[in-house]
Amino acid sequence: MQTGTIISGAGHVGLIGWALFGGVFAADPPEVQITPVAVISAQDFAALTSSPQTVATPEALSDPAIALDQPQAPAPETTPDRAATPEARTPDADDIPRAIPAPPARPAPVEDQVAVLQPPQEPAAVDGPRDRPAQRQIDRVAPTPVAPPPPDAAPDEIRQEAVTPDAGETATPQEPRDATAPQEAGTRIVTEAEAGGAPGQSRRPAARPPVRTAAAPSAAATADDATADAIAEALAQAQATAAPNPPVASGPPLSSGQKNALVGKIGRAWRVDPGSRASRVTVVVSIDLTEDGKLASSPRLVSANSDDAAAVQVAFRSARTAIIAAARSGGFDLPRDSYASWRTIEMTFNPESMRIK
Amino acid sequence: MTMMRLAVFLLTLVFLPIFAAGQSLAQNGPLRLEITEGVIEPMPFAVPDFVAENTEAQQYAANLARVVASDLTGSGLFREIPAQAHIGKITDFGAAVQFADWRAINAAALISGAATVSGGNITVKFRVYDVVSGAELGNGLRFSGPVEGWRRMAHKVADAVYSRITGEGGYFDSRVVFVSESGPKNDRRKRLAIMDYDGANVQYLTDSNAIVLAPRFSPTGDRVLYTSYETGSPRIYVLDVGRVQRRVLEQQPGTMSFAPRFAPDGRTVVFSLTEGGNTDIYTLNIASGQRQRLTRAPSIETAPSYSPDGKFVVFESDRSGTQQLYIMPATGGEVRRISYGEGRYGTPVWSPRGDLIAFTKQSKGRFHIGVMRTDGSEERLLTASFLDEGPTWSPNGRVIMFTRETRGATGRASLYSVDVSGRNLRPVSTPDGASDPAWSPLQP
Repeated sequence: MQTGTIISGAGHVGLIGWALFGGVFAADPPEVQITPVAVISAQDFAALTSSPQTVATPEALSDPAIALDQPQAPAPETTPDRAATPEARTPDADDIPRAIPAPPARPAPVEDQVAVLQPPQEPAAVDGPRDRPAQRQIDRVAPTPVAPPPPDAAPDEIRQEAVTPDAGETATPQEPRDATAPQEAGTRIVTEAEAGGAPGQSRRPAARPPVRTAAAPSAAATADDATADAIAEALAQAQATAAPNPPVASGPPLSSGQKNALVGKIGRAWRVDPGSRASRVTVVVSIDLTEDGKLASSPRLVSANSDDAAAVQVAFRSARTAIIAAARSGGFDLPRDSYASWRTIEMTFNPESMRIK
Repeated sequence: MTMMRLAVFLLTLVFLPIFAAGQSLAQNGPLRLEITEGVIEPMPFAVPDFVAENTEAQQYAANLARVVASDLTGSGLFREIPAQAHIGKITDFGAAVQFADWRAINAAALISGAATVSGGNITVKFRVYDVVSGAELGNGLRFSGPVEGWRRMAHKVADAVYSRITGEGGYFDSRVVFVSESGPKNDRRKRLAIMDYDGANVQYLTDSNAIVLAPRFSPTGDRVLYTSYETGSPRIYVLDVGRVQRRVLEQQPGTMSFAPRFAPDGRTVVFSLTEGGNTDIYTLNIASGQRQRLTRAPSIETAPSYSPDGKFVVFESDRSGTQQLYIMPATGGEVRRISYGEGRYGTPVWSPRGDLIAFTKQSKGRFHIGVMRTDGSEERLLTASFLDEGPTWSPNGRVIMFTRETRGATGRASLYSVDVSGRNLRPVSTPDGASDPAWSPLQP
């Protein structure tokens, strides 16, 4: 007891002494600059101070931020109506009406004992056609009125980019897929005068560099629902279509409470079968979010720690389902001011603590 | 010097968290989160009545969907959303699925199907959809066969659905051979019976004139080995299930043979043989009749079971003084003990996946069905009752069926199944008492 106390006391005293006198915290004193001064007499000093002091009026220093906002050219009195500008507005996912395809032909008569049915035509038309001809570009106003969509028609929540096989790429072939159909017709006539032509005034220069938003990542990594032939294909497919330029986070990071809330929301939608082979697979899934906390693209498989392709597929599908389900139930409530920090999220789904041993 | 190290260590303790916190503030790249806690609950699915594509198929359309639903629900991994809750209807098998209708009732999977009956044949086709992502899982499939086999069609549909969703093989289109028991305990009459895995289509393979024990399927499911006391002492028989013809497989005067089981190649049988009061394990080549002795010990070695690759045999032995489990090469040789827990271990059965061994354990007056890894580690007891014994694996190695017998003179033996996770314990319906189940492989 005493020995320990003595050792402890000696240690503390030694540490404190070393810290105080050992020069641990002492830094070399900064060099003293010696400036030559002139010694003047009291009369000279009085003469100097007797004259009235004139304090120069401080010049108005322009606030850098305000200065940046000041246009070099006279600002136009009226700014163009953005809503009236039909240029290149990528249709939001919410704006895309669900296509209601025509009824397909009846299936061919059965001949085989066990036959694989041809891929469905109609579901594909709803959720990404594979064999459909290229989408046609249609005027914003349809020449003939169409029937309104059924009341239960809802826009696809996930917008996907078109994927076309690269002729020069053979290592990681991708399944061709069409992009989500653009909005074909609107309810308002946009005339040429409104739509284009020369601007009446020169554009007001941007006060600040516009916030660069990362290019919308292609969403070709949705799960191949057929049994995958190899995990490498899935990984290559996911990685090949990953976001080309991961965003550089600049906003304040999420607090641990916000992260825990996000993890908890997805975890409550993550269904795990503890006796399955998939419960032995940890997958890393990447998602891109819009500023309002919705999915900007389908979740992508980044990596998995298993060679069991079927188990990886199931594990990824389970993770993807959890993310989509959580996103559908009100989206992710994340602070906008830190959007840059959560625009892209990589989620590791690790079921190790849940699986049966 | 020591003091110096100590001080550096203490300062490191003080400043490291501050440094780490500073680092964490500077996020670089995407936000990374780890999710380790999910939910363990059945997946909700919907299976509307299959579409009858002609009038003859109308009587089967609803029943097909019911069997599929029963199979999936019975696995414990799925939960059916009842038809009363459905918003959408499937009236045309080829029509587009309105996923919004099925999302609205929180269905994660949707199974649509159709049936056609023509000339005594039934054709069943189906599609399975991932409702959340709004995509079909795999391609649709179509099965054809005699109309009497409509339940098998439904089981095959359920197997395909199970496989596509879980990524693992199903077990619904399989059969179980068992010992049907009737009468009181002191005068129990036993006969071999075979049924679908869910208790349907029971057929009897033997009469009840002699006691029969421990039936075991061949790897292809066309033959059954069993032990019969027809001659007064136990003998091994092999029975052709299709033709219901049998023959004695092992008959040597002055010996008793029992506990047979096929090797994975189907050409060899491993069994126990008692000769001169000593029981050891032997193999028998069915074609040549050549016999090989695998163990030579004065103790009782019995209940052998092959590994799926046919390289090893697990068996029970009391060579250590208590009944324990051991593994040896399939050709005999060095024996390795794998069970070390309290109590007695018996009737080991190697999983079709090869990763687990199921067993019966008797400990502290209760019986358990349990599983352990092939090296004896990670032992888990799945059940506990007055008497549980005789486990058998489902073809996909996911479910274990066993015998449970209740206490007392009126006690009755019946079959139960349990998931390998220990969940979803449920009885298997049989017309009479039942014991000694053996699960077949998936039917072709």
